[in-house]
Amino acid sequence: MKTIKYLLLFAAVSLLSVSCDKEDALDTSKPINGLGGEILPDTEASEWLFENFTVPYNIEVIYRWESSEIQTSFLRPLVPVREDVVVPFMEAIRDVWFEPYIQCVGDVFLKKMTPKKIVIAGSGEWSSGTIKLGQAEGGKKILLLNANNFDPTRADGRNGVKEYLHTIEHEFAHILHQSVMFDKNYQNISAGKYDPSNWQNVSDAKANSLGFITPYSMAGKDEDFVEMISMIMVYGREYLENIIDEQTELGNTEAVDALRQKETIVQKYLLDVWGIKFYDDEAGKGIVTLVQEAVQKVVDAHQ
Amino acid sequence: MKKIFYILIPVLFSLAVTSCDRDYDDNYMGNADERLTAAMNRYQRELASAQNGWIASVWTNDGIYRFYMSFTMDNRVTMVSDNMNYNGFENKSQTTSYRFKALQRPTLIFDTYSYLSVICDPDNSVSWGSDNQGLETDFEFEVAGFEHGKFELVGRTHRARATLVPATEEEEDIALNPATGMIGQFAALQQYFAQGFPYIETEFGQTELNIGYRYIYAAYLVEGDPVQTETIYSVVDFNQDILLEEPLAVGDIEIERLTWDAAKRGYTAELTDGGELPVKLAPDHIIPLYRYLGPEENKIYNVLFVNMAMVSGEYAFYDSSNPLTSAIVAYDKDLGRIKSTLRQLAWIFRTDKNDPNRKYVEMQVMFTQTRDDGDATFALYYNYEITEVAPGEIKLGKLIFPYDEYENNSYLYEVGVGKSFLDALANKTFKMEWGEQIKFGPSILTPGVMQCVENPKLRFIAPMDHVR
Repeated sequence: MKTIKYLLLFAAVSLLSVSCDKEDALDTSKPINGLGGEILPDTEASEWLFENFTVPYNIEVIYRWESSEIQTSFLRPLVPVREDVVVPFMEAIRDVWFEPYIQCVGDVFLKKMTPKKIVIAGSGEWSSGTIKLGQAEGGKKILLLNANNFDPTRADGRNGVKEYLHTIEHEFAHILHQSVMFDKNYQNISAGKYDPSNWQNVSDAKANSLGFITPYSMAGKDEDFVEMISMIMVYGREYLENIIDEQTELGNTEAVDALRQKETIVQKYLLDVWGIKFYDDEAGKGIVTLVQEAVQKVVDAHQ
Repeated sequence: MKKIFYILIPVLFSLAVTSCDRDYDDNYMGNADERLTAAMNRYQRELASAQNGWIASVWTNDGIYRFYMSFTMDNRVTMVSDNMNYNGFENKSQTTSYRFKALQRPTLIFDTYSYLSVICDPDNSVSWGSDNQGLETDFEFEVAGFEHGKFELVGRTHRARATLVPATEEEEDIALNPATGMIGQFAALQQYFAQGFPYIETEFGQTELNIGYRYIYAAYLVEGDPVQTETIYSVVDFNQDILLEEPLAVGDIEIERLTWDAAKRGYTAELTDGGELPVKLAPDHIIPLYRYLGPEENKIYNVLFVNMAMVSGEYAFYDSSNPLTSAIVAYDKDLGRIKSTLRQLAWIFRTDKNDPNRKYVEMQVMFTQTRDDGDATFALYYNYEITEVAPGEIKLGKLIFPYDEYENNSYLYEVGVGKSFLDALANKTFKMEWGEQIKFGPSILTPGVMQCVENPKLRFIAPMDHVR
């Protein structure tokens, strides 16, 4: 026992004596690859983006393929954006996304709330029969896909302005509610009707009859909330009113109630939290009208 | 003694412990970041300083695609592509951007949409790939090596191989000339094929050489049955030589390349053992279709199948002089009476399982019906007995209705649905013939033809397959 004690003591002492190794100071004279970001010669596109997004809003727009930003893989195949599409695409996006908010609440709101990184990819993301057009990540970044197919000559329909804008407004609304949460009562309106794993197979009519503005709303309360905002904003107040008219005709008062309640919460949220007026009133136009006008302006400019 | 011992133990212990200390030698091979930066700078300088640009070969699941590429130090790259499947293809150069990035290895990224992105595009209608994978190739490449002035690259997503070889002045001139570009040699190859069907003489007798733009294989007969060799990826070079990725084995010989002789307007097959074989041209396919197609169990093909796109559509290859064209269009229209559209007509050769001497044609008619609870697809069956007149020439008997338990097959026929089509085939004699190569959408087909002897205008033309 005594031998063991002494052995342990000597082990401890000798370990102590070698444990105080001084590490070499970090040699800062050697270059670290990629520190500070890649330095590339300017192009017309990069200069335009700097002037129109970085300077006014501190947004970095990444259009050159960067797989770590996009997380491409053979399961998620994507290709880069066409160089000649970058400026027209981002110009239209700025005109329909930023302009209405600036007119409604000024530009400080945008400077604070827009994601600081916008990444553009050329193709859409294909998976199980659906094509994904965009993705938002924690308020920091929005990934815009399918830019190569953007058609600014049309407002509605495939690859038209509204299709892209809907994605952006949807993701932007996520950023807003991730910053300040919406009324907890919202999730009770359609409690029990959400279907996160099967919404892709639900028809529009069925979703409407359950009190949802789109099938995608059925994915969860957050999606429901941002779909209410983005669909009405982009497709107009008539979009909701048409659904409500249909459901009223079918005698589906539960759905009508649900949609109206959601509409009210959305309006209140935007006004109380962000000072954004959703619909028009005597004082002036609401954001919904402003977005509709902005879309029309862009489409007209490209005829 | 004990005291020494007690001092010795901690000393030995600490020696034992410190011997596991690692010595960092930063000077061994230099600093990793510095090496990486130096390598990437060197690669970019090499790319930008090539006098006549580069020829890039990119491996895909559809063979080797080639590009002319010219790089600048300003991260600009100009490309000419050999991909004629690109919608709106124009034979001209395009300038996009590239850059090097330090990842696990120095990586060359073609970072805006270029001709290279086209074959990677997940949109099947752009890349002519399938499953939204493009041609399973890449536009981001790790530099695996740079030796003797040639880059060896490995793609990041699909691990596709690619090489960059400096182009000669002549190659650059051809590539940048809109009259030829990277596709001039394909047109030249088509002119060669217009003269006849290439074959060589081997231990198996006359051996077909099937030469595509990006692949080659051979076929010969063994005891009356066709045997196909492996398909080897190949490249049609600027001087029209056909370069094989690997030697093509045909029995005992191995073909390394086909060398074009412009004066003789013909090819010579160069063998790996140093020998040579002249490539001759035959007026027709060396192996007749009936060796491939028929009711016998060992035949490679036993079905020809036609869909509406082949009969009437952008790429239709049925013409108006063929009585079957209007008959098939009428079939589709008449199926509308039961809210259906014609999906496919399959001419299937069958042998009776109970009587191997009895052979018949099973005409399978697939149609899709629109229903309230969702579309459904059905099949109708009509038979004709076969009598063999000569090898590859058969006479069909009258129309028979098999599987008519619910009498649907006969009922539809009697009320006129498909009657003109089914009647057109009854009691006629047909010869099996190879069809001409056809461009059908993105694919190139060599269809089989059931050529009616009594009425030469009547032909059932279709791609072939095998069904159980």
